[in-house]
Amino acid sequence: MTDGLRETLDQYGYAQVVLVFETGAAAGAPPSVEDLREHFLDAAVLGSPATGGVLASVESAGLAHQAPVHLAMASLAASSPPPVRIFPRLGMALGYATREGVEALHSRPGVAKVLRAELPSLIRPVRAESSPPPVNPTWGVERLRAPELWAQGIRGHGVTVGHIDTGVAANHPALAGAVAHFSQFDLQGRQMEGVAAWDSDDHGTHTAGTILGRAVDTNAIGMAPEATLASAMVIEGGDVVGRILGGMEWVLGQGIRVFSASLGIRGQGVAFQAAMDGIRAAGVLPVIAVGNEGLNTSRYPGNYANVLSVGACDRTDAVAPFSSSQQFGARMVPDLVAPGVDVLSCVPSGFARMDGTSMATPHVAGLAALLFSAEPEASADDVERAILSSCVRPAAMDESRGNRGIPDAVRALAALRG
Amino acid sequence: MDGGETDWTPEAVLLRLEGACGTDAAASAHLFLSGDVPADEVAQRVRRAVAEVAPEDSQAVALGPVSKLARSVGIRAPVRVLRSLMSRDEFVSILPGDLDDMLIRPVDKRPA
Repeated sequence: MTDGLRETLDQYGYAQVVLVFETGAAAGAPPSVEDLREHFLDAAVLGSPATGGVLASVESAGLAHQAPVHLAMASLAASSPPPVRIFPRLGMALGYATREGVEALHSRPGVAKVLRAELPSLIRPVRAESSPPPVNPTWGVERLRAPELWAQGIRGHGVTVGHIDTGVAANHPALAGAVAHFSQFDLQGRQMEGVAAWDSDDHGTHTAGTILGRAVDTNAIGMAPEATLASAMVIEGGDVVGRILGGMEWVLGQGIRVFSASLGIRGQGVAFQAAMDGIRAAGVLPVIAVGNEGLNTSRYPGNYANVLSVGACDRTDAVAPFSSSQQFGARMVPDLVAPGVDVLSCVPSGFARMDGTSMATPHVAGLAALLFSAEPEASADDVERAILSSCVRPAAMDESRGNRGIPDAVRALAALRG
Repeated sequence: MDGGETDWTPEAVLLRLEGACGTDAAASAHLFLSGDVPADEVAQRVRRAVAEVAPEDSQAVALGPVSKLARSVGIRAPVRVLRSLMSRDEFVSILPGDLDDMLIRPVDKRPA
C-alpha cells in the first residue's frame, strides 16, 4: 500500500482508489462491477448521488456507522450508481474503499496495483504536492464531518466568505493565501485605503481560521481550507456602528457567497433588518452568532428570521451554558448549534482555544462555503435548507436550547444534491 | 452571565441620548430608514427630512456616511433634531454611534 493511500485511510477511514489490472497474455478479462462490488463503498454513503430520503434518515455521527448505512443503501441498488466504475480499455477501475476493501483488492488475482486516486487538476490544481492532507482536524471540524467532504475534493475552492470582525492576521501560516480582500474602517467609519491585513485583537484571526484555516503541520483548524476571505476590520471604539455598516456594504461587493459575523447588539431591534434583507437579496447566506448571554437572551441581527442563527455546543453535544437562546412566538433562536467550546484556531501570536458562539458561527459559515463549492449553482436558500435539514438534535439536548441541533456536512451535501 | 437586554426602541434610545447629552447638545447616531425606501434615495430623503424638521439648525447638523445596504445614515445633530427626525414615518430605528458591546467576546480564551 502506498504512503499516500495509507495516510488517507488513516485520516478518513476510506479513500478513492484506482485499481490497475494486470496486463499481458496471462491476464484474463477485466473483472466486472459485480465481481468487485463487495470491496467498494456504495457511493451513496459518501453523499454523491440523489438518494436524500434514505440518507437523510440516517443519523450517522461518523464512519463508525458506515456499515448500517451501507446496508440500508443496498436496498436502493437499483436506483444507485455502481460503487465501482470499470475502464476496460485502460485496464483500470475507480471507486471508494475502506482499508479492508483495499487490502482485499490487493490480494485479488488480476489486480496489479491499488493507488489513491489523485484529484483532477480542475478541482484542485497544483495544490496536492504543496499541501499534504491534514491528519488532525479539530474536534469541531470533525464533529461536523467536513473531512468527509474534503475526501471528495470539496474544500471550499472558488468560494469567498465575507467576514466582519476585529481584522485578520493574513501572515499567519494557517491563513497563507486565504485573505483575498481586506479593508479597514477608521474611527469615523470611513474606509481606509491600502491597508495590509492585520488583527487588532485575537478574535478575527480565530474566527477566520475556523472558517478556512489551512493545514499547518498536518493540523486542520478550518472547515473550508480552500475558500478565500473578504475581511473587514470593524473594531470597537469610536463610531463602531458606522464601521460595521461600512464593512457589511464593502464585503457584499467582494463576490461573497457567505457572510459570517460574530457580533451583534443585545436584545431586539430592527436597525440591521434592511442590511440583512439586502444580503439575502444579493444571494448571500448570512451566518450570525446568537450571543453569549445564556437562556432567554439573544442579540440582533443574530435573532432575525432571515439569518442562520448559531449557538454553541461542546464536545459532548451539550449546549454550552453561555449560549444564548430565546423564543419569539413560534420561532426560536438559535436555528442550530455548532462546536463553540474549546475551539482551537489561529491567533496572531500562534494558536489558542476559545469558547463562545463566536467560535461556533465560523464552523457553520465554513460548512456553507463547502456546500457552495460543491454546488456553485445552489442558492443561499438551497444551502440554508440543506444545512437546517442536516441537523440532528441529540436525545439529551433540550430543544429550547439547541433548536434543530447540530449540522452534518455529509447529510447537508446529500440534501443539497437530493 | 449578564442577561439584561437594553431597550432599542427609538423612544428608549432618544431618552438615553437626552439623558447623556441633553436636548440641545449634539450627539452622534445612525438613523435607519424603512426598507421600503429605495437605496439610491436614502441620502436625498435624509437631507430633505433634515431641511424640513430643522431649517434653522442646518449648521448644527452634520451628515455622515450613507449605507445603501442598511438604508442608514450617520448623523451628528442636537438630540431634539434627532427626535424630530425619528417622528417621521420613513425613519424606523436609531442607534448611538459609540456602542461598546457589539463584539461577542469569547467567554474563555487560553493558549493552545
